[in-house]
Amino acid sequence: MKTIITENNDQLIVQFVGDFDSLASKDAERDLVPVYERDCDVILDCSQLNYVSSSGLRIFLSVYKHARKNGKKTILKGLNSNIEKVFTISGFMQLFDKE
Amino acid sequence: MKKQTKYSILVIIIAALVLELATVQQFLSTRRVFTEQLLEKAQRDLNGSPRIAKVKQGVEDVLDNAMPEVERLVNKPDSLMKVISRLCKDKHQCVGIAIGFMPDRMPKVYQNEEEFLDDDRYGLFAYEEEEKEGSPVYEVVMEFDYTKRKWYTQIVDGDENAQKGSWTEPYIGNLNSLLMSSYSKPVRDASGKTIGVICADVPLRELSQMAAQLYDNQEKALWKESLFHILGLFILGFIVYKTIGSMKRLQVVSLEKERIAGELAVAKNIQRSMLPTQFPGRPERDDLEVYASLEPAREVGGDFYDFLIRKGRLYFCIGDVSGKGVPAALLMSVTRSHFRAEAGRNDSPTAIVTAMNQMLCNEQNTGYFVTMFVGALDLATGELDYCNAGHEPPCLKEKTTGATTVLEVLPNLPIGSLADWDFVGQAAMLKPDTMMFLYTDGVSEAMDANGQLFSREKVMELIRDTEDITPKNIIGVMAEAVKSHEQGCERFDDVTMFALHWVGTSSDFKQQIKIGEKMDLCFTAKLDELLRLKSYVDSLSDKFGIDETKSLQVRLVLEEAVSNVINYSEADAVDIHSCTDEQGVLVITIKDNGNPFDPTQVPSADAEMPLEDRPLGGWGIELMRQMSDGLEYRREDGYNILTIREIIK
Repeated sequence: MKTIITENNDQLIVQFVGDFDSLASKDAERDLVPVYERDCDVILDCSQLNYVSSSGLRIFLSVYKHARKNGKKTILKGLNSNIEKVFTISGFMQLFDKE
Repeated sequence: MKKQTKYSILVIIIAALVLELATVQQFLSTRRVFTEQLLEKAQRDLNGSPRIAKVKQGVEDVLDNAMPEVERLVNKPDSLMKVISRLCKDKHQCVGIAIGFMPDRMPKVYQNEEEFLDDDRYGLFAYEEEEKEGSPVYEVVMEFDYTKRKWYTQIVDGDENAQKGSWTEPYIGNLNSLLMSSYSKPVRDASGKTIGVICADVPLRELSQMAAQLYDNQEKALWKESLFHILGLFILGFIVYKTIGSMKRLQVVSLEKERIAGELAVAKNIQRSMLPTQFPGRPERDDLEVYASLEPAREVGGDFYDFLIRKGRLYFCIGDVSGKGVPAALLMSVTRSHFRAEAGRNDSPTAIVTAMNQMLCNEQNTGYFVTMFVGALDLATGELDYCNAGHEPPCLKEKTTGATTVLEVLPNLPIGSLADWDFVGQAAMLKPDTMMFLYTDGVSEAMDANGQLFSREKVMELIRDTEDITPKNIIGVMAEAVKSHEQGCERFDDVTMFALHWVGTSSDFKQQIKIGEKMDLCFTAKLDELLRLKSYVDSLSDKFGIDETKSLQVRLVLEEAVSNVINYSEADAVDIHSCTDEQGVLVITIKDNGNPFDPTQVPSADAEMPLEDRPLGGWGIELMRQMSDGLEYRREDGYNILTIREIIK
């Protein structure tokens, strides 16, 4: 999986491309360091995300926690039905704002 | 150990005592021989010295010649006294002449003499005051008990030989305190019966001086000898003292040595266990086979190899830390950890090598460096990225054509030498069914008794000539050849080899699965191995016609189950077995040898509960429940067995 971070109008857009499995979450944790250093709304673009497991969910949660701490929003974008199901089952859908 | 030392000290002390006893014994026997020789010499001088012999002969002659006159005059005391007085005066070697009569054979004439004593003794004695010419001669009647004197008894009690005339042993004279010897002969009456003894006293001044000097010399010699003896005792004591000290030190040293050997043995095991010993290959997978071996020259060594599979690529390395023994081993473990860390996050071998170089340069300034080859092989395409840091170039062999080549490498510098060195990476395409052989210089520079090296050419030749290029076989053949080359000579460097056989794309793996067959997957419990899960589920889906959504669900359930095993159960190995039952339900069994863990007993995650409060792994288990159509756990023969059912039709 690739993690691509771009900035737009004081928002960080994080795009995940590929499969967010246990192995990918290690890389993602490292790639997301710039996000943790910023204090702004974050858009998590999952339109190119094919698969997510619980280890991927943990990363989503830590991004959410970081934003909430600063009173900022975390917005989920472009979930496909398979991913949405995973988010729903784990109760994550309630946490995030949707675009 | 302590007992042995005590025993050794006892042996030394006994040896010292024996030596001492032998010395004393020798001293005593030497002294005895010395004394014997001295006495013998004195005796010889007494009998054999020409001067003394002459004196003796003279005295004997005087007495012998005077005997007829003496015997004629035995009954005339006055005349007899005159004769002995004259003899004494004439012969100045004689300081005295005495005649002692036997009490029971005393001539009658003497019994009337006024000096005749009650005990029937009577004797005449003439003597010089000094032993020189013209000294006055005194004439007396013997008042002492001459019958006890040697000169008297040796004749009266002596044998026939003694009767002819005998010399006494030297004695100290009563009158002049001189060392004397006396010559005595029997005095006979007219009938030839012995009635008394005549005797001449001869001073032995010369002989006594000589003897005194000899005894004196012996005393001096003994004194010196004793001094040496005492000195020897001191030295012996000193040696014993020093030896005991040395032995105590030796004991400490050998204990220390034992301790170090024990620690080295432990270190050896630790070092061995650091390197992977489970290699990818059949039957778990048939697209890749890996094998490696490391034989350190000493207990621990500086060689290493490692590999891991990440994102469909095999990251592998072989390395050699300069130097040997413990320092090299320490640096080896550090280097190998860096490789693990860097290969886990860097995709390019050049980046891995560069990062390792910088860390090693920053961490240590000991002058040690590491030669290394790092490669990354794309298991799908055969694309090989690599970066060489001063290591031996690997060899390649294609199975189909038999072509054997050396991989072209840039030398670069070994890592740990220069922090800002710009490492240049390279790339190559491997053809399917290619074997790659990596080794350290312990192989190519293995020496025989004549100092002849095994050589890179020999390595190439062996690879070229070996038909069976499975990594295990190649390494076995090479190890055997190196061993026979060494002919039992001491090994100077670690011998390390790493070989991989890339068969081809994993699509071959898919093609082998036939409809209606079950599918198995085994792997070691490492997170990296999860990568193979995706291709396994893809194959399952192909085989059983599972649609994409269901396929993703199966993958998710399997990943959650296997990550739990890997992360929490401390298992070594995980087996996955998949098949369909009569109803067409896909039954997947996950079997691991870890600690007992029943995921079905973990409480359901409460969607209302704040996320951060939920139990660890709770989501994963909830996902497994929701995404599967059945979840059963059982513990059997030390295995956790989790059965997952998925309705796929």
